[in-house]
Amino acid sequence: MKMIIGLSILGSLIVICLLGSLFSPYEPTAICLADKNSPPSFSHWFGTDELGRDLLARTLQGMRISLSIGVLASIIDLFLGTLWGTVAGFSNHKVDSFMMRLAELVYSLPYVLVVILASVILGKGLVPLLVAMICIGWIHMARVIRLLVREALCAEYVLAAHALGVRTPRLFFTHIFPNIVGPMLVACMLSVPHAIFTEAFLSFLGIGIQPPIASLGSLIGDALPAMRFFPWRLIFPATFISLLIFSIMLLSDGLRDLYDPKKQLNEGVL
Amino acid sequence: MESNYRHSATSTSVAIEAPQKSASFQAVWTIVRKLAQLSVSLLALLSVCFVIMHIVPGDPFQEEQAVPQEVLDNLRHKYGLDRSIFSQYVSYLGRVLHGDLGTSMRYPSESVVKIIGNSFPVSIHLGLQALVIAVIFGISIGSWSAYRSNRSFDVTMTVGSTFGVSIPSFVIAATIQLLFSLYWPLFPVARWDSFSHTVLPSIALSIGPACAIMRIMRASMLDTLDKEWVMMARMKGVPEWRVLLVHVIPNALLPVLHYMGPITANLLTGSFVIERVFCIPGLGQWFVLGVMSRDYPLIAGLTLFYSIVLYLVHTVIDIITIGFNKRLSQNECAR
Amino acid sequence: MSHLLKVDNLVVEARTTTIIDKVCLEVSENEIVALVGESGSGKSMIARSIMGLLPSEQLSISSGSIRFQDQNLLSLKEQSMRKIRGRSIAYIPQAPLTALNPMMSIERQLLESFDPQFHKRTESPKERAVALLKRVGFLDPSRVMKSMPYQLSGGMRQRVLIAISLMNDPKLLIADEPTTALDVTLQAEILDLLQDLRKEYGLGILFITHDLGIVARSADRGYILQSGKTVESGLTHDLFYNPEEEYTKTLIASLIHHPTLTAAAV
Repeated sequence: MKMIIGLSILGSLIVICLLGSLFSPYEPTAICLADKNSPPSFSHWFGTDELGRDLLARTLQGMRISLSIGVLASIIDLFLGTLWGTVAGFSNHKVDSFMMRLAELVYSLPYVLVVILASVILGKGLVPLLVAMICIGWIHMARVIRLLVREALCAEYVLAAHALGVRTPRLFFTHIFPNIVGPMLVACMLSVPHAIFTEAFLSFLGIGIQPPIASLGSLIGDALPAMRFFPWRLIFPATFISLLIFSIMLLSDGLRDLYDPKKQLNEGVL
Repeated sequence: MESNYRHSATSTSVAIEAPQKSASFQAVWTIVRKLAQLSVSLLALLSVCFVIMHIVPGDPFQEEQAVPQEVLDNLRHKYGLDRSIFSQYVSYLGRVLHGDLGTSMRYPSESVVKIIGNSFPVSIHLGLQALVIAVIFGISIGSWSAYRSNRSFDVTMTVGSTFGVSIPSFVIAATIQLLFSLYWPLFPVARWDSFSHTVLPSIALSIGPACAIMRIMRASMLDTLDKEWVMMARMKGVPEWRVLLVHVIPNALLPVLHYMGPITANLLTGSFVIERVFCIPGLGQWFVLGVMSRDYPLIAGLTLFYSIVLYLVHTVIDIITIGFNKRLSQNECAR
Repeated sequence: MSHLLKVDNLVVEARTTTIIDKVCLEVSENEIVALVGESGSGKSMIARSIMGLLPSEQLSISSGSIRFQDQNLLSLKEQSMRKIRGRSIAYIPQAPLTALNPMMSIERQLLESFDPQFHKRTESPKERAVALLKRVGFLDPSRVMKSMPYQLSGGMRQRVLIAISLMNDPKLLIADEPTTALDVTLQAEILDLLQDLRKEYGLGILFITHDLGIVARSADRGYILQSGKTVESGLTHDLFYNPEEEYTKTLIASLIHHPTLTAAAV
């Protein structure tokens, strides 16, 4: 149920931003000072910002960027995290400890904080931000995957396979991997809203995406000082980013419920 | 036949003797170990911070173009930026251990420690206020939702909390400011001068954590309400209010306690945007300022400070939960 | 002998299915009555219905009566029912590992069940708890009082639960598979304990189990339950030596080599 709502909202949002040019004839970066700060009207559905740029186009561009960064960062993190996590999960105690201690150092600090620090080193902008997020995010993934691998290794079917003489790690992949894929994907999906939020957060503060590229976060950040007089500059990007994150969360929540049999029992009888 | 069960009671009563002796000693030893881990982590963090900052090309003075080269060189010399990295590292460590975190490069009259001293009380006030609000609302609404699960209250609250968790904190902050300060002038717009100034920022900061706590509490309550000992308490004829207050809620609070670590981190990063939106002179503003201007001592000092606070919170939570884990571990084992 | 408990044509329904179908049973003072059935036959459900604590809101008692000392429990309000639970009727649960609150000491859990208004004796709750712990077989009751549940083994916890049930001098004990989670030697001890308690206090015990061996060893009478219906009932001796129903015969046949049965048969 949840999944359906989430999927439909997300789906429509994706469709809207892909077909962006149909909705707005303007370029997101086209400046037109004559029209600056105009309220929503027939020619500018969402109004304009202080440089006369059409807000609809900018909001759509912002959505595209937020979505792509979120998904890209999560997927790359998934790959890196799987590599590290699987190796750690399979290794003996000492190697595993060492690998995880290294990761612990960064893991103990809040994600956003470390990404900010990484941005200081790497610079401002889209690519540095993406690199920063990936560099920090894979550690979280690795932790989750290592836990999954360890749990799966304790399962009895693994013992059975081992007893039957299945040796190579590659063969283990055919036993363990299919069983972890589900939770892995759920974890990946859950990290997407987190990534989108982080990007928006940093752009809001001015550390992330730089103008003239629009990010939903930076749009809100720019709208802040002027929102008393031009509230639409806040309302539209705010609504869209909330809808975006909300729909992805619903979707991943629904996915997670699918994988959790206990919860299904609770909803039913006896 | 009478002697049969007495015999097993004898043998099993010996079994109770063992664990209780060294409980307090173990606790103290664990605390010492945790503190040692803490110091090692902090040292490592400091070093990493230092190394990365100084490996990166460029320094705070790079962007000043209107200043002649000799002045730049002098400034660099003054801050020791022309010495070898290792000697810089050693002197940095020495200074830190003496409680000197350096002076901000952008604002040379302000030492980092002084900055922290001035703005941390503000941030901590904001953070604690938000935490109290979040905990009170989260726990009470979460418990009631679980107790009357799947009825209208629960459904509304669950949907609401999903919104609360997904809407970014700066959006919430901006919206609250728009609605309750600008449109309906109920509260002051910004700054931090009186109690009414603290209301909106605390509420804005508390919403995300409150919704998260609410969800965790609800799930945990649902889980605990199903437990055998809850049914047993009812079988004993214990009145319902006591069943809830004594048997259900304390046990359900444990996962919430675990979550306090991430919540503190959340409050910390949330303070960056809340302080920006409401113009509050707290630590978060300084941090963002330092990041924007690549003010290394400021950034490093504040990061170190944040880490100390966070690691301390984690350690305290770890210590508290050790006792609880022991009691629970033997319960859930499938024998 | 007067009936302590009389269940008459009890029907418990879920949304579309009937869980308990017109079950009748009686328990009198000073006797152990066994309620035998396989998993899913509804035995625990009967126990819960008597105590008025059905597990889910989707289950309801649609007809029948449950009379305890000539009072219809089904017509009682929750307030009054609470005055009976843990006092006149006590419950011994199945899972000793999880039936005790892991965060509370044994002492607190014992004292919690003590009802000063119901209890006519003059001893303090703590004295009563210590006396009962001794009675169920602990040689060092004060140490047990101070322990936490995780420090006790399964057998010990079951004894504690029995002590808890006796705190208010109940007339009727409902023992819901109290020995299922324990190993065989402990089982025998717990059964002997219950026998002694019944002789000493004149208790009526409704013993729910799936193990016919236990029935043979300890029960005076038995009811065989299959899919929510009472298939057969009678004195233990008659059930084992003159079973009438097919189901009863099948159950006994699967026990042919059970040592306890052969011992009881002698």
